Amino acid sequence: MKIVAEDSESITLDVSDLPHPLANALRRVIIREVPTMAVEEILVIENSSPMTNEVLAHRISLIPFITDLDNFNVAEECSCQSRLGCEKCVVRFVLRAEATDQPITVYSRDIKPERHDTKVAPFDGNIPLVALAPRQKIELELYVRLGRGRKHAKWQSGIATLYEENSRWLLYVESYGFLPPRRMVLEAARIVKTRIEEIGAGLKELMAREPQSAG
Amino acid sequence: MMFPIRCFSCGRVIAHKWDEYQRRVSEGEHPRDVLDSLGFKRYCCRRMFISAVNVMDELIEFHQKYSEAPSA
Repeated sequence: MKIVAEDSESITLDVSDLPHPLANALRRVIIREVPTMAVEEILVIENSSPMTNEVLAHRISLIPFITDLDNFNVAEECSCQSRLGCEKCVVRFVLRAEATDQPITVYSRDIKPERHDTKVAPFDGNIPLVALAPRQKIELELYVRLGRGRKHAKWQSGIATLYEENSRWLLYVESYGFLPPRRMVLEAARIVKTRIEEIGAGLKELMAREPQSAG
Repeated sequence: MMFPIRCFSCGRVIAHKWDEYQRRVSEGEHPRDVLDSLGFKRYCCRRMFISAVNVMDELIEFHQKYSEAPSA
């Protein structure tokens, strides 16, 4: 595998020397399996904005959060087995904004973490979320969790395409902002490796069984 | 209502560039050049910008004009 081009949000790899199904597995895993962080639960304390709770919550859920893969577990796979989550699988944020006498726009930079020692944050502060007319107010509590794209597209880590150009196969990977593209590919490779090992172990077990007589 | 957070087709986050796009286009720059310099290569993301209508601004204006006294 060779790097053909790389910048801060995308990477192009030459995968001609890789078995084709393996390159495709990488592509699919990047879309479906690489864990990322997004808002999963929202507690609406007050919302007098022109937007309904559902629309506002959906907009917020689509914001990619810079993902801390080393210190967090995917919510469903966490050892705490709690619906509320523990400090290893949930990060709490607060979004509070109020327009006094002038209309304001609420941005993603107004999302404040509850604990200030966390790396997790919206990947960009300039995302407009909702506009507030004078005397309107929103107060929300956000629960950010680690999830996978197969459950909801908000967790899709990025775009991955496999294509042929000048008789060599290229894997183009673009990050949505959760993780650097290099980390996405490495994470995907790790997941593919464990999957293949699982299949290998399963086959071994199957073949070691006593052959059953046909009934 | 407001500018969508992500492109409908490819899912790329686009909203964080909206303010800059709007400012630069209102200053007279061609939308094509602005989108090029913001790094939007795919036409699915580009149409999100050039076809956007922000109804929210009008709603806020309406609120300001017609809700002088708080209703409750």
